[in-house]
Amino acid sequence: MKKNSLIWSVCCGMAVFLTALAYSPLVLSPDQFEPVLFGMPRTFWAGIVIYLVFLVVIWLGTQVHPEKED
Amino acid sequence: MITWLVVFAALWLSALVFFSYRSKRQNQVANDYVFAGANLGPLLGMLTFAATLFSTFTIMGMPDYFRLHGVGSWIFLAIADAAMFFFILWFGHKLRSRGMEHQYDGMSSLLSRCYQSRFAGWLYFVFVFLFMIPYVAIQIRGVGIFFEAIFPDFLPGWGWSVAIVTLMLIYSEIGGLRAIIYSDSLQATVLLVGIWIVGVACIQNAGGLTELFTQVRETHPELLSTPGPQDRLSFFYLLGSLFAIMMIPVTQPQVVTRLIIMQSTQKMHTMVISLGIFAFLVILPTAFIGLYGALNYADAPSREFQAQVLLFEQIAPVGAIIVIGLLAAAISTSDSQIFALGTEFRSITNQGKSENLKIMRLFVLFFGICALVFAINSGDQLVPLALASFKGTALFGPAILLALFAKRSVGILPLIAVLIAEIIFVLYQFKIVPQNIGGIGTYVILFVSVGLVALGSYLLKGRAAE
Repeated sequence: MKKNSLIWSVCCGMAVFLTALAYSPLVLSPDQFEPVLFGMPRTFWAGIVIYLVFLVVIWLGTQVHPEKED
Repeated sequence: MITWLVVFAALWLSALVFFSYRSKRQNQVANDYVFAGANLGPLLGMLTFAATLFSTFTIMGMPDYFRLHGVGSWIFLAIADAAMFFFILWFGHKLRSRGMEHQYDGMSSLLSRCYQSRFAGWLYFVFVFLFMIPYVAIQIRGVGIFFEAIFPDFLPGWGWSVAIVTLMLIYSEIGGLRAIIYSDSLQATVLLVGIWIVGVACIQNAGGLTELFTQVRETHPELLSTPGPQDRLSFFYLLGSLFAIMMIPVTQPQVVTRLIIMQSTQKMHTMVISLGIFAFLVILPTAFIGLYGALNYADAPSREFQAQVLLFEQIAPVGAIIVIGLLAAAISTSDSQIFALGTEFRSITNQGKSENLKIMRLFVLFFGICALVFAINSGDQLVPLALASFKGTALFGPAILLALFAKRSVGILPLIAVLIAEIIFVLYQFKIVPQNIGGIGTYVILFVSVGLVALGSYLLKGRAAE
């Protein structure tokens, strides 16, 4: 139970971190395309990667959420 | 395409009739009609949530947004959605437990009870009405005008709007929320299939994914970074949009209802992760469609770009599916919101426990007519108007979260803060208040201010139990 609570806290921290990362100059930077992935500019592919990591965090969150049952 | 259109329209209308009939038979008591029996499973929950969230705004608006403002649109919608899904995970159980504690019959009455003041409920109802009617209206108008452009000899734009509202009201009035949820599920499925067919066709027409981006880089490089060619997607604009979108499940009554009526918190969690996957799959192809549009229809008006890419470049059955999908999307988003307004009216006028639904039905009709009148007389900027609606209701978010989390009544100061912020926001929409104050987006200042008042109230009054 304690372990789940800790993992849930980590998930919350990760969600905040991923949101901050997506809105940081690392992702949002004017006229910067590099590095390119399959032709996609940085803002786009980094945004996709962040979304996919978000999905993993959400899934993990559903597994360890402190209020799983009503 | 007309033959295909007639076939798909007949199938879709038959499905609506079936859903209404089946729902009417299943609805035994008022709670069944208003809350679909409050017994929603994860799959239906995900599809109805998705259909409510992803409307014509997504099918027509997002490709156009990518075409005009570039890849930053991904951050604008997809990342904000991802943050919203996690946020549901974070506060959803609290919403459900508070809802059960107070025998939820609408957000208005829940707020009245939590704040121990009817002012809270009425304030919420008034602003939700003010911001949701324009949102419903632009959905209806967007599709009406689009259909007028592609079928110029059939019906004028207002005629399509009347047809959409009439259809929506008939099956909502007959089948209630259950019929809406069933038709939402159909719409979400059609949306996902249709948008991918068009997205893949756009990638193929551009010569592949890498080639698509290479060509955009050669011709419109400013689309491949923020803030985009028109400087729309600035940091503060994106941040304000993030707040607005994250608050959707807190403030929009049609979304709150869908969280409350899930069978259990665990099933709500399953729904959230499914929704995350669904949203990814829906938003991604809109980027491909939009960037393809930037290559081929860079200077075309939005309507021409949408008609060409979504319909005329597609083979007849696909074009027909898109037309029906758009119609279904406009209807499913609008009916959910109109019905939610009816539910809120029932809740704020203390009829939540009554078995008599006549007044609610009458007001669903009234709200539908309001939306129709607004649709016929409003502008057709889908995304900005939709966002203004979300942003307006989102200002209520911190006060609602405070109501959910506070262990005792915190007084009405947070509500006063919301009222002031909403008035300033309306002035901001009419450009009477500047867009930026001291280099910071005005909306961000407003949202943070109401958030700080709510947080302060919680820390000073709301933490300790009575």
